[in-house]
Amino acid sequence: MLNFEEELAKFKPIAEVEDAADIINGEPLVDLTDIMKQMLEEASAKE
Amino acid sequence: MRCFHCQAQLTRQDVCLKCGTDVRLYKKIIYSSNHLYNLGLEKANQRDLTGAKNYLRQCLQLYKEHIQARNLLGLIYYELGTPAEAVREWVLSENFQMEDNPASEYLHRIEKDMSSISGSVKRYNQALIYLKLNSRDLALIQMKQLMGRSYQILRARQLMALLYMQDGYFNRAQKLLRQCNKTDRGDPTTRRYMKALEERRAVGKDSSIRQAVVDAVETPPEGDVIIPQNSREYGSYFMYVLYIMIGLILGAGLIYYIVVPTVRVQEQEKNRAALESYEGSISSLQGQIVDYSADLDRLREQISILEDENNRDEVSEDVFSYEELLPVLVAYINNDVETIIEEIALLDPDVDDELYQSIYQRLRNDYQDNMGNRSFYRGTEYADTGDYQRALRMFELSCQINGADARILYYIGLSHEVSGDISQGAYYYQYGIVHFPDDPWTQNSAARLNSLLSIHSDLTVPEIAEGDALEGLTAEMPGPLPESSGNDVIE
Repeated sequence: MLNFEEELAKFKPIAEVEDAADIINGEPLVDLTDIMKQMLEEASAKE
Repeated sequence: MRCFHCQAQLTRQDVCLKCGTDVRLYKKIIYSSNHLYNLGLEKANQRDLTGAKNYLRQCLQLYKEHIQARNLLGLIYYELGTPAEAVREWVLSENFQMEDNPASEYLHRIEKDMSSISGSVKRYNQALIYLKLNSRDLALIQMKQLMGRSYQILRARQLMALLYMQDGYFNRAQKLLRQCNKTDRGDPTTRRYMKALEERRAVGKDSSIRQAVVDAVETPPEGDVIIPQNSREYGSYFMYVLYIMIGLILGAGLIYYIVVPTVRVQEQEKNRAALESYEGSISSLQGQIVDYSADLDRLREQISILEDENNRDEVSEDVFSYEELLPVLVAYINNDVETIIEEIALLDPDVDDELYQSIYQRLRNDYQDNMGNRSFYRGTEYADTGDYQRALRMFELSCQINGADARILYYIGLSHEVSGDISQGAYYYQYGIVHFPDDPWTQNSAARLNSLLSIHSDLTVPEIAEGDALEGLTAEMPGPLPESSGNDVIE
């Protein structure tokens, strides 16, 4: 059985389109290739 | 695929031919991201948007510049009802690849539909706020408005389904959950709600009669609009009409048997009272008629009395009229021509009395025939006594009554000359000379005029042409006496 209050608490406000800029700026955009590059740069630096 | 270090085109070799960098790990990462993108695309084609989203996010975690994966992820966000995240993915995609990128078109479209998208999001957020504040009714209003909008939000449908389920509208909830499942088959929340709904239905069928009744009343699966049974509605309308007809008949009977007799009695009482008042009016009018008859008799007596008095007044008027004649008659006795002329003009020619009319006509005839000559001779009498002023007046009266002739003109001129007005004297002399040249009295006038001219050298003879009217008469004349009206002249 569902608990309405618990289920309701799972619903969060949806970011409006005007807030897209905040979303873009607020999250660092790092992928595995960035990590790899950083590791390679660190390794080459040690050498 | 390009080298992450020098951007040179990579080959099947494990190193970059340009810069010599080891690209094995890099290639594995790219291949993995491509694999995840393919998986995500497959899930998206199966409408498992949640699964596709997960694969695509993993893909982008490996390789953030995967344009196709990022664009597809933006589309999935848009479809699920999170437009801000969709915009984020497309903006990033556009930044990584400025040209030949469908993200630009996506952003353009979302900009066109901005009002619709923002309206839906705002209503959903507002509904959440209302629910948090326990304003369930307001939240439902917002949610129902949101359900009718073009841009749909998956979470909003799920929330609406949850509300329906809580209120016992399982069919409506099921319908919404089906729509959610159609949008995203992989959404765990939808699945969980559908599972809960099935459990609830199963419990209702087994044990809850009330729930069974609710299910029976609720809409069939194809829609949440309750379609009423026509036969039942038509029957209800017929019964309504029948009840109204019966009510009208009963009301009419009630009016006929209870209200109408009462009204009739009241009308009869009113008529009786009116009849009595009319009878009273008739008797009072009869009394007034008797009074008026008595007044009429009295008035008739008064009329006869007044008629007698009127006759006596007429006699008085006759006496009064005769009194008017007295001054004239006295003047005749005294031979007072001036008084005769003055008083005779004051007589009333219309007195209805035979004797009066006889006297008046005699006086009038005498006035017309003799008064001119009487005036002339009276004037000569005054002249003989040296009273030329009164003589002049009498001569002028004679001239006005009889008309001008050589004699009277001479005497008028002479009276002016003797009275000292030689110019007027010369005028009358000259008037007689011009108009009556052959009359013997004209010689007298000419002699007097010559005498004047000889004595008064500055005197000029007035220029008078034949036919000129005589001027300068100053004596007041009553004029011709009027004839009496309706009476024959008594000669």
